[in-house]
Amino acid sequence: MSVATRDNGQPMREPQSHRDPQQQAQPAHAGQPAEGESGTARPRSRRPERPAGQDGTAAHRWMELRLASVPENVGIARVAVAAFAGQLPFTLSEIEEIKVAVSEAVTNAIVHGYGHPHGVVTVRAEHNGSRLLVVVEDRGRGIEDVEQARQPAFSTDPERMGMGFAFMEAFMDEVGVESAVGVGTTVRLYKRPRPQEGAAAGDAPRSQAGKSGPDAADAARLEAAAGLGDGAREAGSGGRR
Amino acid sequence: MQVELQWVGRTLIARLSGDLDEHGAEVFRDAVERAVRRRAYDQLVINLERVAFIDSSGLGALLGRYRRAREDGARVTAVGAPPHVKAVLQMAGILQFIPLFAGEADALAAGQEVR
Repeated sequence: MSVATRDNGQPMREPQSHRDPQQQAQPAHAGQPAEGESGTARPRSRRPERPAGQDGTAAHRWMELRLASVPENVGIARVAVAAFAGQLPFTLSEIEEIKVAVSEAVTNAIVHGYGHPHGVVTVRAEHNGSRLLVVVEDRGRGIEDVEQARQPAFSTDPERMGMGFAFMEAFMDEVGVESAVGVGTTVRLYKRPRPQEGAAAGDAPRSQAGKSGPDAADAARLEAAAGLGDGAREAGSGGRR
Repeated sequence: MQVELQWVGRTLIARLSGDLDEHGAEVFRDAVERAVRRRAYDQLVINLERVAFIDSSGLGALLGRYRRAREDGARVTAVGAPPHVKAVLQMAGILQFIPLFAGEADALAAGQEVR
């Protein structure tokens, strides 16, 4: 249950101009080891994005999953994160977008990070009442060239779209990737609920009208990337970093 | 992911239910590959009515079936994608290769017209 209103009935949200350090894209530094050890202590040590408000809506909430690196666990990760994201006033289509993005990140960790069933994928989700952060971490092979990996249609496997990062970028507000060969990869996915017209409370029926998918530019980029042909590489001009 | 296969003449209908993610994609691919290895086909109809979720792994499996069918001289159609599944298919441009029909009858009829 979330109570995302103030007394005046306006949805409680941070002004868009507010930028905290965590909101900045995480640059990918090849050669820099992924942070932390097991990650379990980090949610407590991390400063909340804003202090708890008087009504308690801004309290820091988090969850963490440790999953064996098998494809059967991808569904567990996305369903758990979707349930957690339900603490924020996301629309149903935004929740679907989060599920796809989490699925892509966890699948990458399992298939590309490990490629075997003996690894551990850590999925942490947290929010401060206004913005969701999902961190997917593996201790696998790491990505040699993060920029290249983020390009749509990079995959050479006929059974793959090569659009994992493109989907993450299309469906989330911001995507950060840190990777080091032999150390592992950490993907950070950020998303805020979009302001809903006339929304009075977080628990009110959620309008689907506000948003139904990524914007036109994303759609065009992805369509080009899926084109199986020339130009797919050029289509991914780098996305949002 | 569960895959129900049915042959109607030289058309293979694959009815999927569940999540078409990395694991579901593998189940789907293996089921269809086993079937078309043993029997010639003109058309593969993929029924998505009961697919609750799709990501790029699922799209990859659809694309893989399209590529395989093209080599085999067959066509691939999809049927009944729920709205949020359809949105992802559209976004990825998959429907340019795999036309989407409302129902199996429409897909089968379209297959007849082509031949």
